[in-house]
Amino acid sequence: MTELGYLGLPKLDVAVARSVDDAVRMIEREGYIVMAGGTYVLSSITMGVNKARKLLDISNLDELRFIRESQDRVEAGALTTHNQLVEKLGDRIPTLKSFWRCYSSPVVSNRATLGGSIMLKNCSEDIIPIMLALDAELVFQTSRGEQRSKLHEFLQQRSTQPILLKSVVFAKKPNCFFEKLWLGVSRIPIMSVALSFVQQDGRLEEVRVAVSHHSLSLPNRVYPVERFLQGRTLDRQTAVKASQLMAQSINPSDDVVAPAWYRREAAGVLLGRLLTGAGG
Amino acid sequence: MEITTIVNGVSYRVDVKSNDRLTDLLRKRLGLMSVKEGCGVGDCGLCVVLLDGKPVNACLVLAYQAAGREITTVEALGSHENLHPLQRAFVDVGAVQCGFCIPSALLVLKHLLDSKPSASREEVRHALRSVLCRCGSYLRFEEAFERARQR
Repeated sequence: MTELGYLGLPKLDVAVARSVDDAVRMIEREGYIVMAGGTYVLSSITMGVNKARKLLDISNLDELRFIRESQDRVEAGALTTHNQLVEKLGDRIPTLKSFWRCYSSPVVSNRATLGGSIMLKNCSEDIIPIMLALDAELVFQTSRGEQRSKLHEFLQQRSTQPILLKSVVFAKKPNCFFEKLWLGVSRIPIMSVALSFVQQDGRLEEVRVAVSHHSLSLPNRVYPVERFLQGRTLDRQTAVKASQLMAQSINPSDDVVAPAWYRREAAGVLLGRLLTGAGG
Repeated sequence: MEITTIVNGVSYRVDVKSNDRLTDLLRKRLGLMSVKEGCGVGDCGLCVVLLDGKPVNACLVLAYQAAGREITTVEALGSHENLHPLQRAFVDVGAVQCGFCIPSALLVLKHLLDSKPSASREEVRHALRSVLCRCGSYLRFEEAFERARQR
């Protein structure tokens, strides 16, 4: 794919969707692969790791680019860019500002979309653990109508049946935190941890803990830690115990970036920091 | 397919293929040599251009997606006789070493200067994360931004 030192794309069959219905039809019946912002699809095709050649460009579907807020929930269209999420919601959901601080290449945020990141199901997407912590629900459009799925359930589904993500509904929790250990420009974290909770009478309720790590894993919630934190008070002892439990509850692999034991330690340290910081 | 796009204030009608990237259009077809081919996958930032005023990696945009849009490259930033304040500041502080990433650094900082002139040091550093400078001139870029802001 190189010509005189230049990289390039192979021949592509690109169709531009004119409407959501048009997009659904082309995905379900004609086997097109969705391209939203294109930041992953185009780079992976250039690198030769993505063999898709029939692309459906949905970037013109303005009806998928919106942010609607109610008192405690947000619905964001699948084409909302990372930058728009941070700019429009960062003040009310401060964890989005943490997401922004860890962004490997801010220019990419002008094209990368919320929907694109979620449909990737990839640990390179920091927004996934954050959305897991915010109890995100996905709204899909199919030819049979609208379908909904919880993000954590969607991530566990092995099916790769193509489907159009229309929007993402998530909680507007101010007590949501994100921390990441990473190597400079690499998008893939050594370890990233998202935490959210509601405090009632000084006790932690509705606790969510999610992690993301090496390249072959899916971001996921850490249920043993969530159960441990549920109903406890936020103090140093709780943070230390939760941190230890976190290190025991995840099962990362070794790779060239970091060994598994280091990732487990890092997850514990990051969660400890988030809990300590949240407790003031 | 034939598209019409505005590049540096000039309207072009060009025929592009579905797999042409914006980099291919700008550098190979229109001869804008400031748009570099680096990694080709959006990591190095050497192909940054402003698309409707916002910085994007031209290697991650298909050429036909520029239809009806306005593109700015560093060629339109200033002239030899009348440099943009950022270009002037880059010269003044000696921010240029090999020069390869300078067009991208200038465009990223121009966008920041236009959108948030009061940007903190942390915000300037954050914006520059999009540009891989192998000479490591980031401190000079920061210094140049500060000078341009004062002007």
